[in-house]
Amino acid sequence: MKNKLREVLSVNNLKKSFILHNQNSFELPVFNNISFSLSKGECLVLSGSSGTGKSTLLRSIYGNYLTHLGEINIYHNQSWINLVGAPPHLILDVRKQTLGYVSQFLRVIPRISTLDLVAEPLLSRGEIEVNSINRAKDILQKLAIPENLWNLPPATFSGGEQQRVNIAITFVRDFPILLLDEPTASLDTKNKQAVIDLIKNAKDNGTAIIGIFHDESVRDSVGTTIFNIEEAKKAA
Amino acid sequence: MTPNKETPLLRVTELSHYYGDQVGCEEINLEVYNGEVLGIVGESGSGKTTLLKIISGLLPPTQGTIEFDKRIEGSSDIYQMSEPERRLLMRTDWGIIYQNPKDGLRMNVSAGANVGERLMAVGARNYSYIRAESNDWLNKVEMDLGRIDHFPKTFSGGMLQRLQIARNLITKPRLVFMDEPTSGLDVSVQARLLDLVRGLVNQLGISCVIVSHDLGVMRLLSHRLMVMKSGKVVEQGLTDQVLDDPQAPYTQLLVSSILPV
Repeated sequence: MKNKLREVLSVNNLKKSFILHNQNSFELPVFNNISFSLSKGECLVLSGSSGTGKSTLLRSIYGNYLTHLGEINIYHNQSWINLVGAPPHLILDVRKQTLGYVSQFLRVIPRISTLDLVAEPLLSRGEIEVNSINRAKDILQKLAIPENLWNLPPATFSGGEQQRVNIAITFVRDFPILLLDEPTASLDTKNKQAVIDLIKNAKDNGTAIIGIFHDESVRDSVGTTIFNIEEAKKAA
Repeated sequence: MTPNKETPLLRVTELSHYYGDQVGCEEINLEVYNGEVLGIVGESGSGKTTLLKIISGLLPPTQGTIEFDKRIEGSSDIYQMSEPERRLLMRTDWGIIYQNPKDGLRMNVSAGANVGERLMAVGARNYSYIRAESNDWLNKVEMDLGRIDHFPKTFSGGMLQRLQIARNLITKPRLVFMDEPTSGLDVSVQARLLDLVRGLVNQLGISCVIVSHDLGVMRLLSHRLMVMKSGKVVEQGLTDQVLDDPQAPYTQLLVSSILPV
């Protein structure tokens, strides 16, 4: 039984399809009637083979993909709001305060140093510079990014380093809800463990997480619930 | 308080403009909130610049209202105000950055005077204060201070554009309009200028309306994106959503036409 009071996100009958207007308005259905809920401290693992719509589901929740049918209810600023059809500035506010997203690839402004990139979200939230920089340093240290790289832009970093910078940019803030799209895909065992520790720590502090983890060891060590998107689609 | 109950800084309602029987733009509705950057994209002739001119007080529209949330009086229609009132607004709370910097600068007075002029327009009279503020802003836009007494006609395109930005931001406007701020500049200068604009907008919490046809610029700078075609808005939404999951046929065509680097 789930405790209703601890719930922070609930998805009801969500549908997503792509209409490709330049290919004779071909409609590509992705999923239909997806429902689940998420509580504080829970880590919901999306499973299903490649191309079943796991990333699409994460992106839909984040508002990166537009959905028309169904509901994405999220607990934001002490009240529940539905993100489907929400005005853009409200979604931006949710992204700033409540909902964090770690994508598969790092996409940042060129030529800005790693440290500044990680500190920026804190600065733009109005925190003072010294604190922001210190917290950025702290998280980069935890993720084992070598200190001599901090003042370089991440464009020239290795794949694994870029991915950890990407994780740092999101984890430096304490989001109540996190969406993780394969955060450990190109990491070696040691660095994977650092990320697992970070996720576990967040979970223990009450962060609710939805994640895609192809790596079974990661899935087993952080996951609390499995949501199989293929089975959910069959049931729908 | 949820932000959607906030009064928008700028609200445009049912705006249309016709050049004779030619459509400039039609049935435009938009809102810009505090600290928000709105991007307007579309092909040449889609009405982007017409729209920008109208909402920045340079061209009265055929129909529709443009309301600006003034510091004291609150929301007021900019074309119902008296001319001096609108002029005051334009040199205090607004900044306009033109595609061609020559339209926004005085080419026959020094760079420092160009920047200081706006301060004088809002009442500053102490020369050393004006000089110090101008220096400070020229510094912020990464201009060589040795050039402060030179005429803008001796400046390169990128420098002129930075000078224009300094001139506009010195009075700490709340809303800045930019028309293709980076077109005509080479890529490295463009990138530096974009960093600069982004940093300043973040630090000062300025709202911006930016017109450009460069989708890369938009992804970097704007929070929200509006796509125009033949004078109408075909799609609007969060920038990353419009670019990653475009809904309208035209936007899909536009996004799929980006050349990979």
